[in-house]
Amino acid sequence: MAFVMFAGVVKKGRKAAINYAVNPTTISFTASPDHATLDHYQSRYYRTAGGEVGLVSEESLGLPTPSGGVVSASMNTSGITPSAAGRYVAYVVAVDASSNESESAVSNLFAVTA
Amino acid sequence: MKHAALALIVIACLGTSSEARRACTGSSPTWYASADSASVNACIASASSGDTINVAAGTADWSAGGVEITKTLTIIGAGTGCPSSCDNATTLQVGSAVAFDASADNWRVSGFTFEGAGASVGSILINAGSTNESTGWRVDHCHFKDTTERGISVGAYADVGTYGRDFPGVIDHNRFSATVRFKAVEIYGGSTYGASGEWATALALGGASFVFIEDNVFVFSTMPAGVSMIDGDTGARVVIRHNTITNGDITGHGLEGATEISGASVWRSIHGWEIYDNSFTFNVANGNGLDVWMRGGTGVIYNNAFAGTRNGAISYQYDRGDGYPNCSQTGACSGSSAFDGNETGKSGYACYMQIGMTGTAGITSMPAYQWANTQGGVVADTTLSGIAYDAGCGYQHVQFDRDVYRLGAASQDVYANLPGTCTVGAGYWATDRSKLYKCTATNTWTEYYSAYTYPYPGVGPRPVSNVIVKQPEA
Repeated sequence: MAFVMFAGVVKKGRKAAINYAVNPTTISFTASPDHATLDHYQSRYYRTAGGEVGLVSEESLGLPTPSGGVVSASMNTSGITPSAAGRYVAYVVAVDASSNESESAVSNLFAVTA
Repeated sequence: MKHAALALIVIACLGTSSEARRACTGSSPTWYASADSASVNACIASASSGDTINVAAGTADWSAGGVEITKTLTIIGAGTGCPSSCDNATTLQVGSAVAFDASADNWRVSGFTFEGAGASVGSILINAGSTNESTGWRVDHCHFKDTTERGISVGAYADVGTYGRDFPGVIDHNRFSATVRFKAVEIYGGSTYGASGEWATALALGGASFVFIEDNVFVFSTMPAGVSMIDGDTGARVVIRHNTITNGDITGHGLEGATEISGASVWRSIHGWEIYDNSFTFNVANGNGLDVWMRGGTGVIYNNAFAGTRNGAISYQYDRGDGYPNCSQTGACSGSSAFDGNETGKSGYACYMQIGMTGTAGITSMPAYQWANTQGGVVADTTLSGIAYDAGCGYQHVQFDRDVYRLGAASQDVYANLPGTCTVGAGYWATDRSKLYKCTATNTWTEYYSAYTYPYPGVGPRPVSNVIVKQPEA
């Protein structure tokens, strides 16, 4: 996996290098233990820059077959307005046939540029 | 030589090492434990409320004792496939110990197999009868395997005069399996000596304030006389729905045989029950004789399918007649107990916390309703159910069309066909609205009941983990 290195403030008075994925195209995750009973996975993208957190886009990832327990799917970030200052995170939601859902922990940060 | 020295160091670090097995790694909010109780306990000690502890696959001996859940935690084993086909990936050999003793709110235990006899108060014990009230909890996708004692206690006996009130909470997608039917779940409500406990809180059928037992699988091979599969006591409120049950039974205790605990009688009847959309299959006789056996409180029983050996499927009973006067605090319901309504000529009726009653005093009429239950695919409510009573009292305290209403075919139709006339107490199930209407005054129907949201809110699949977004390779 390749990352572009950015400098970001991680704690007041200290600076450290933070890895951002730029213009990502793939999202991967360890499948839900209940994968066999799911209807699909849903990705949700949130903007995190400027102290704001808000849902900006979401998409169905379908129900790809896991490989070694890991699911990989193409990301569609077209719903995200490119912004040099934009920092985003993803969550993946497991959705079952009854539309019950559960959300993952947060992904790594990523950026979308023009 | 270097290798030998290294080996010694490794052995020193790991070799003897129960310490090595007591592995808790990670940091808030996500922790990782091996399957032994010491590791899980270490993670609990380190975790903050709101954290998740992922417990690795493996089999571990927990018979010397389990852990306490005193924080809002999600503790997830590696097991998958429950309730239909549990892989038992994280198996806790519980012996006769309590594995999880929980007194916090909003916790979750998921993905474990509890193997072995189990404790008399359950492999999972919620609140231990303290005055605490544990709410918002969930036990899901677990396997209670070869238990002979108890699977889960919601509240429990204690040598104090008070039971906790441990709901709402949900028990879902678990599997309970053994050769001999055991007490998979026992639910206590809240009760205090000298007071009415949970009976003092208004009962709202269709509401959230219940223990929900849904989408579980119960599989047993034999049903000797003794404990029932699901049991409710002391003001318990329980919704039992969408479960698949093979050779298992349900009971709700009444006031009969009230127990003295440290000199204080805290026993009360179960208060509220909703039993619907369950599938019962019997291929052996039930030693208890009755498959749904309610002895106090009120509720609804509908859309259950019974197949196989008949055991007198649904029974309503109250046992405080003068032939059963061992209820130490209240005495028999025979016209002389101040706990009862003592209507003229009715041998004490309305009896304290009997079938079809609610209210702080336990003698406010609130009939139970039953409809659309099938035997072998045929709706047969009138023959499915009966009333058992202590003939010694000379009066039947529980009666149909007063304390229990069984809705016939004419009382189950679309809302548009709601009859223009009705007598007080009658019920009508509007099939197109999934709502029960009750005749609250002559020729006046009032919406009375509809089921709480199904599935229980927040009950969903277990989440994915390790989400990573990737940019194209350079």
